[in-house]
Amino acid sequence: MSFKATFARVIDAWALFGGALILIIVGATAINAAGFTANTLARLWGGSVPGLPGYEDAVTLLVGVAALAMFPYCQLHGGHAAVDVFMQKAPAWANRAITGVSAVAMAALAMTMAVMLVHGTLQTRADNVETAVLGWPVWAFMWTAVVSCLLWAGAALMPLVATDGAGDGT
Amino acid sequence: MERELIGVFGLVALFLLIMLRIPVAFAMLLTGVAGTWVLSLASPFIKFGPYLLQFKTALWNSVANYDLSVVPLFVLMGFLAAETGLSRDLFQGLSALTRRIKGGVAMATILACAGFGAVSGSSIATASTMSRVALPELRRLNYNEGLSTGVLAAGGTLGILIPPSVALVIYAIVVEASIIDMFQAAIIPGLIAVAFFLIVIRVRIARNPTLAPEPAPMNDTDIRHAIRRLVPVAVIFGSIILGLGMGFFTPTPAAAVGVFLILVYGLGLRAVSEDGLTWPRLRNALLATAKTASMIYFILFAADILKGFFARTNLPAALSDWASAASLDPYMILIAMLVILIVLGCFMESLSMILVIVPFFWPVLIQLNGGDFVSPEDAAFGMSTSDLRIWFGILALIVVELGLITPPVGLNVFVIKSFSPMTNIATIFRGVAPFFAIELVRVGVLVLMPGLALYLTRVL
Repeated sequence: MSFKATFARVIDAWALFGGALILIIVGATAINAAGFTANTLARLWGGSVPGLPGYEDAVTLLVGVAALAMFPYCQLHGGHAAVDVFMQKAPAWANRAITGVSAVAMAALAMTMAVMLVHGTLQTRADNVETAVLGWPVWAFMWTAVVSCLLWAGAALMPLVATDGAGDGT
Repeated sequence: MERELIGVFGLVALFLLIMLRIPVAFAMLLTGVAGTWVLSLASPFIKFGPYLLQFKTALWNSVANYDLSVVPLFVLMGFLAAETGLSRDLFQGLSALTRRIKGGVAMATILACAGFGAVSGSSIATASTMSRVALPELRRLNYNEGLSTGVLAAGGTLGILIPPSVALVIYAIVVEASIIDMFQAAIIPGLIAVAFFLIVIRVRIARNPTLAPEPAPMNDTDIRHAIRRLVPVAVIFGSIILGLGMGFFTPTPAAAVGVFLILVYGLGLRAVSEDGLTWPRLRNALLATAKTASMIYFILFAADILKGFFARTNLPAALSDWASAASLDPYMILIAMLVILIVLGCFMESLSMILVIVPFFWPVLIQLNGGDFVSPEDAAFGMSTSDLRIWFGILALIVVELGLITPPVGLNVFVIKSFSPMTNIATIFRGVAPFFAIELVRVGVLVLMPGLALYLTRVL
């Protein structure tokens, strides 16, 4: 299998991991909503039904991991909103140049974010930052954001790989 | 150099980058960071080094946000509804019920777009999903091509306004309004749109009966079958709306319950038939969600950085000071703003437009209205700031969607074109023109009668 195809499969799998986390959030939220609804009804008769303790803590961290896991997939499949109408009329060389510059700049941005997030994760660990209710260490989730940004940088460079065939490995 | 002037240059640079097909979010981020660097050179009070340190956690803090967890959930709900076949059931059920009316299937398409728009909350998703479902049926019944494609392109625009909608959620977050209030405010304008679209179809067919086939008779079995198809959609949509309306859920649980119910329905259907949810369909929905949700998250992150830059330039505040000093007619300014949004909507994606433009317009509108704490009696628009926030949001969301059916970009039109390659693009634009005209009428009605948007927020 070519490098490009393998890389695309890694990015698909990472996005599906994010999707699986969203499904976990759905399950937890549905249970919590059922508890809240039952509590509203139970209060009419003086009773109470507790919700999931630390539910918001868990959703906050899981959605952070899930959302960033989806960034590389969006980049690889050209999902980021862009205005095409003006460049359609530009010559082919201008389009190629813009695509190249845009890809390199986006990769640079994603790499910068990865580097900044490494510092951020280390600082969060050093500061012993935990979620308010569950007491989960935030850094243990933040490192996945570094992985996402590295994959995002790779995905941004893929249009260049496709153009010149370098790294195709076939 | 004056800070405000740097802000103006920043705005120009932003639009130049966007015109060069640089992803909108990236252009916003670049403008925000580079603009702040330029500001730090011009102003001793702005330090670029400490500013950059925020990026150690800014991206993480932007996405690890409970309030924004509603975004992927609503997006997933829409894609799951499409993959599970709910959109098809909705259309087939409605079209079976309306087949006895001339033009009934075109009307059913509008109703199905409204119903699916409520579940998906996205105009493009509504247009593409309903095109896949309805276009073959409209063709089979010999509906006029211009009418069919025009109905689908216009019906797609209902997705943004029929609650619950991701765009309403994002707008509410941007202007710090209540999401539930925005949902309630969108109901009557959304229903007006549906009614107006149905009237357009009726009038067009009355003027030219060849646009639609003669109505077909229906027996009791057909009606029972059609109603059975509508039950799952009614239960799922009803649960969300009732849960939100009766205070059982906030938007995040409502979206999660919607996804949960669709999953249960899809898996249950699969257990008893060949339809329903399979692993490849779930995978498709998750990957489509990944694409759309991360596009939205990236825009939100970039918009936050851009907003910080423009706030430091003092440009929005300077604009609002100018508006209050110039003694301009507030309604003329409002109309000018709506026209700007329509024009920009022809080129820009609606969400990014809301995030870039609304922060500029909003302070101006507050000033024109008489300030943050003005009473409705003294206000230029005759309403409080919180009501103005809701009313303007509804108007803005309607007009940005007009861009989806306006040349030269008209994204919805191109979505329909992709499902109907043989149809001339001009035919689709001609087909959608009467719906565009009636949308302008709807905007006029809502400008003249703000109570239509605000009524439900007051009584519920």
